[in-house]
This record gives sequence, structure tokens and C-alpha cells, in this order.
Amino acid sequence: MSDEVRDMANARAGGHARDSRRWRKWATRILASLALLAYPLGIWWLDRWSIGVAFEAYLSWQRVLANAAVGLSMILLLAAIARRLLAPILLVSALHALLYVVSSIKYRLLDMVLVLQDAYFVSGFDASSFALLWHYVPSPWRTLGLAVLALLALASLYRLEPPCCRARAWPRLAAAGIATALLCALYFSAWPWTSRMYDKAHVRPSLFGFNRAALRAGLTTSLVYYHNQQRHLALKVDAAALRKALSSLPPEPQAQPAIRGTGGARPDIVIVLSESFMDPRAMRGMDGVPDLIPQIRAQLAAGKGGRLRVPAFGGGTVRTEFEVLTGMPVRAFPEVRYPYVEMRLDRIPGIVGVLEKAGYASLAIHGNSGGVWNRLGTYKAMGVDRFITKSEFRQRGATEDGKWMSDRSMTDILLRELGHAAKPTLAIAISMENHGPYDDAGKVADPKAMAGIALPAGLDAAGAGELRSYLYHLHNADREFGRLLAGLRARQRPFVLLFFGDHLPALGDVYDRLGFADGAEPGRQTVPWVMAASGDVAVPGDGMVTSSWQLPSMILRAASVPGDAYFDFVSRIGPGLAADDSSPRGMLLKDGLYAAANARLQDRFDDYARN
Amino acid sequence: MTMRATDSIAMAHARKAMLLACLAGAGCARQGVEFRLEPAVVRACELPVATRVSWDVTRLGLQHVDIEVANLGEAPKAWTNGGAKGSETSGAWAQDGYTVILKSRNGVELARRTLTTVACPD
Repeated sequence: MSDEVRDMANARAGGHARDSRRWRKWATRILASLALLAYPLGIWWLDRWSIGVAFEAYLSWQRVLANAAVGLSMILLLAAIARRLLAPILLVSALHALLYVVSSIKYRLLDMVLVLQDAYFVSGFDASSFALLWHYVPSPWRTLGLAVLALLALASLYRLEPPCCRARAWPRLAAAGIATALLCALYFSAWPWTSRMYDKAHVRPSLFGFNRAALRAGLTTSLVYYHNQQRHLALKVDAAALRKALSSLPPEPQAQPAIRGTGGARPDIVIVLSESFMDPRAMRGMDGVPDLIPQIRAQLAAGKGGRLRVPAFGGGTVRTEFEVLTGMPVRAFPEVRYPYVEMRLDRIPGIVGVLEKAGYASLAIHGNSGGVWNRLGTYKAMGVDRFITKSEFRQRGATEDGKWMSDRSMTDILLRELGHAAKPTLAIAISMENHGPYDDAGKVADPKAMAGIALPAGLDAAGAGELRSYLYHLHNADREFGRLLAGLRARQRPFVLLFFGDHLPALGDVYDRLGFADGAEPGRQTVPWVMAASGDVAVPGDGMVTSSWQLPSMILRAASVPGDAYFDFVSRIGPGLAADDSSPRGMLLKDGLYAAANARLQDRFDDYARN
Repeated sequence: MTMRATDSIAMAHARKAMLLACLAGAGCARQGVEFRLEPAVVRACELPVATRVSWDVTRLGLQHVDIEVANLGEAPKAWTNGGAKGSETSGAWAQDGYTVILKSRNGVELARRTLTTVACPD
């Protein structure tokens, strides 16, 4: 080939390359412009879809833009970094869409949209967090395959799309600067994220849940709003309300007879939070089927417990858990949804600290990752000595029943640990077996027992399957309570055992179809609590309705361990407040309790109590 | 009431333009379906309210429709059904976000309307 012919061929190839490059440049610019216009509207459409309302509900261009603004800022940053337009728009759109899909799943299961604190659910994201989320993904392998395909498509698009500007072009640097400033402002809760579109008047949040804010302003806008709220969280002590409550306290109740072992040994204190434990006979039609919680019912019939008001429904275990371990009602901190993750404090006062001063060792047991809901950090702040989590469960040969670590394994570990204890011990066990979703038929340890559970009429196939799964694990929890109690009684040491449910399970369709025997809403139902002790020592109960924040002061009294000034206050204020919190006196006590909890968390309750 | 009392005319036009763009572009509109929820907007302090829905799907040639309802945080439940054209009034149980869904007998969604609110003065 002559040089002339070769030059001509090279020139032609170069021309083709230039044409192709030019064509790709214009095609991606047109597509990017269209995608950029479609992004805010598409996200708004997903937003409305995720909560099942009409597209035009609360539609305005301000709301659409405010709801897309976080994504637009991310697009700007990625575009500046990658020097591409289309790929960043599609990537951010896909991630934003994923957020809405997750929110819609949560909304369907728990009747609540995604909230900012859900991100902490996966704090310290590990295999356990991933496994838990995986269970909630419909057709997980297909979803994973689609996600991989989408990523490959995006990577190909990135390679095909020509750079939109030179590496050192000033628009690129300006875009990077603006986007970085916007995202930093978002993190630090500064303008423009504190402007009118994200304020209270525009978002119109409700005290009764997060759904209203998501409806009225869009989910993403509501997340920005709650992030701003959290950033500006401050503990406020209403000193006047606290003084009024302190001055109207009833006299101290009579001291309990002390529980002591040989040589005056203090009793072990065992607290079992049983996941989603409820009395199934609260639902209509369930009194016609064989009893599934005979052990707990026998204790209740003997007057060793009662009904518990909890601040959670269908999920949110840590809200009830926080109240039982600290004696502080979570409603005293209205901006806080999940205290373990939003109150990142170095020290959290509560029953662990009080018992430590009384010479107790402390131990927590949970058959899941310690990172979930930040339990690891929170127990450390509470002063728990040891925390046994899923990995140690496995090392000890623990087994699952259904999708989660069995209550049987938890009881085994609990009894073994107490058997080795050299001094009085506080053991906190958070069960996992009866955690949803309730779709594990065929995967449980005793499928025959599950199949044999009788159900009331009126359920469809899906509801019957969910209820049967739930009741199977509920029965296991009841059996394990009996085994634990027998195991504690067989030992030579005195003990006090507290067992309670944290909330009702998320069985919305079942509740809709069966209803409740008392006619009340699912969210207003109570869960059982039982307190049992060694010997013939009387324990509080007798069927009374109690709030979960009262339990730690009650267990301290039952164990005859002197509480501190705050627990004394709670034990005196509790019965009156639990009996009636809506009368003028009840309101006064409630305001006082909330003020006391805020003072307590700042370690200033004693100062207020003295003055 | 079908429009926010505080909306300016320009904002109302902007909203309509955006809605039309979406309907045209995304194909959200189902031609031949008339479905109205009244009132569509109320003051939040007036909740819960009774609502009236009216529908007309005669242009689609359908003989029957089903209507489902849901308040926010609830799964839609069957409420009523009827012929190609009709109306129905509910009890006073509609809250903010209350949604009515018009469906054909074979379960295809034809239209969806949602009750919204404006804030009440403090």
C-alpha cells in the first residue's frame, strides 16, 4: 500500500471517528437534557406511588423541585467529577428510585414510610444487616440480577458517552464547587436546606408519624426536614413542670421484702425482651383455638404481671427497649424516633449503671449483629460489661428456627452464662426468632407443629400463612420462657425474671380481617409482661396496666436494690400516671416526667431534685 | 373546593401545565375516564370529612367498575361498585391523603384521586 493510500485510509477513519464522536456528543446531550427534565417529575411520580396516592396530590413545581434538589446536587457533583452528563443522571435516578422502592416495601409492611433513622438500622453494615434486608426484597435473586445488569449498562454508557468538557474547564470546577457546597450545607443543615421549602410550615409534619410529612411535601423533602430537626436536637428541661411534679409526688411505696440467697447474696436479674410477643387472644376469634402461650397465661393468672403499654407498633423494638433499660419515656424526646441511633451519647444512665453500683456484673445477649440499631455503641454507653451477638451464638453451636436465631438457643446461652457468673448478674436478652417477615413456612425446625396450628375463620391464604408462622414462633417463645424459669429455679441462686413483648407484630392484613376483641385500634393494644422471682417473694403485677418506662424501677424494687433519685421519682410518679394521663393531674405528672427524663439524660436530675 | 385558596393564578397555571406535560409525556391519562372526588381539598382542622365520588367510563365501553378506598397508611379496601356511570357518598372518615381508586372489573386501575388539605390558622 502506498503512503498516499494509507494516508487517505487514515483520514477517512479519523473522519468516521470524529463523526461518531460528534454524533454521540449530541445524542447524549439531547438525552441528558430530556433525562434532567424527566428526573424531578419521575421522582415525584415514584414518591406518590410509594404511598399509594394520586400523582396530583400536593403537586406543585416548588414541591417537585424541592423533593429532587438533593438528587440534583448529587448529579451536579458526579457530572463534575466524571465529566459526563447522562451517566450521573441515570445513576442518581436509579439510586433515588431504589430509595422509593425500599420505602414502598416498608410502607406496605409497617404502614410507615422510610425515615432517616432507618439508615442507622444498617449502621456498621455487615452480613447480618444485609441478611435481614434481603428477606424483605421480593424475588431477591432476580432483583440482584437486574441491579447487576443496570450497573453494567451504566458502565457501558459511561464509556460510550464522550466527556462534556475539558478537565480544567472552569464550568467543571464551578459545578464541583457549587455541588460540594450544597451537599456540605445539607450535612450541616444550613441554607438552602433550611429555606422555606424545608421548614415546618411547608412540610407540615405530624406528631403521630412520618407519613403525613411525606404526603404533604414528598419523602425526600421530609427526610431533609427531619435531618434538620435532628441536627438541632437539644435536650430541654422544663424546670417549672419538674418542680410541680416533684412537689405533688405521692409518698414512697412500702419497701418490698428483700430477696436474698445464702449469705445475703443479691438476686440475679434477668430481663427478656421477647420479639413481637403479644397475647393472640387479643384478636377476635383466637379464644376459640388452643392456647399458644400457656406458660405466660399461667403467670398472669397468678397475678405475676399484667399488660404493658409500649411506644412501638409493628417494629421499633429499640423504643421499648430504651424505656425498659433507662426508665425514660421516649416521648420525652419528641424529635427522637430511635433513641439508640439518634442519641449518640457517651453515657446513658439507666438500670445497668444503678446495678453496677450495687455490685452487679452485666451481660446482653442478642442473636443478631450488634451493629443493627447501634446496640453495640448504646450498650457500651449504658455500661454493659459483655455483649454476646450472633457470631458468638454461632461459635457456641446455636441454631436458627425459621429465618432467625432460635429462642431455644438464646435460653441455652443465657442459662450457661448465668451458671458461670461469679457475682450477681444483670442479664438482658433480646430475642430474635419471632422477627418478621412471617413467610418461613417449610423453613422452620418443626414444620409439623406449624401446620398443626389452628386458626380462626375469615383469613385469606396469605394472612393465614403469616399468622400461622407468627404463632408458631410465639409458641416457641412461650415454651422458652417456661424453660428459662424452670432453669433459674433449678439453680441455687435467687433471681428476678422480667419477660415482656416489645410491640405487636406487623400483621396489618390479619388485624384488618380479624379485628381486636376490645374493638380498639392495633396501635392501641397492649402486650403482656410477667415478673417472676425465686421463693415466695411477692412481685408486682396483678394484671395492672403499666408503661414500659415503669418496669426498671419495678424490677429494682422487686430485687430490693436501692435505685437512684430518678428511679425513686419514677416509681412514685408511675402508678398515678399509668392510671390516668389525661386528667389535669395526669398532665402535670406527665410534663414533670418528661422534664425529669431530659434532666436525667443531661445527668442533672439530682440538681433539679435537690433545688 | 378544587384549588388551594392561597394559590396565585400564575402558580395554578404552572401546576396545570406541569400536570398536562406529565399526562401527555408519561401517558398517565386514561382517555375516556371521568372520576371526581369532592371535596378535593379541605382545611386540616375540618377532618375527617364525608366525600362524594362520581365517575363516568361510558366512553371506554365498560359496564361495571369497582371503587377502592384507603386512608394514609392503610391498604386499599373495596368500598363500592357500580355501572359505567354513577356516584357514591362516603361517611365522614376521610383523612388527609384519603385516596379513592377506580378500577375495571378485571382489576385494571382507571383513575386515582386523593384528598389533600391546607393548614388551618393557629
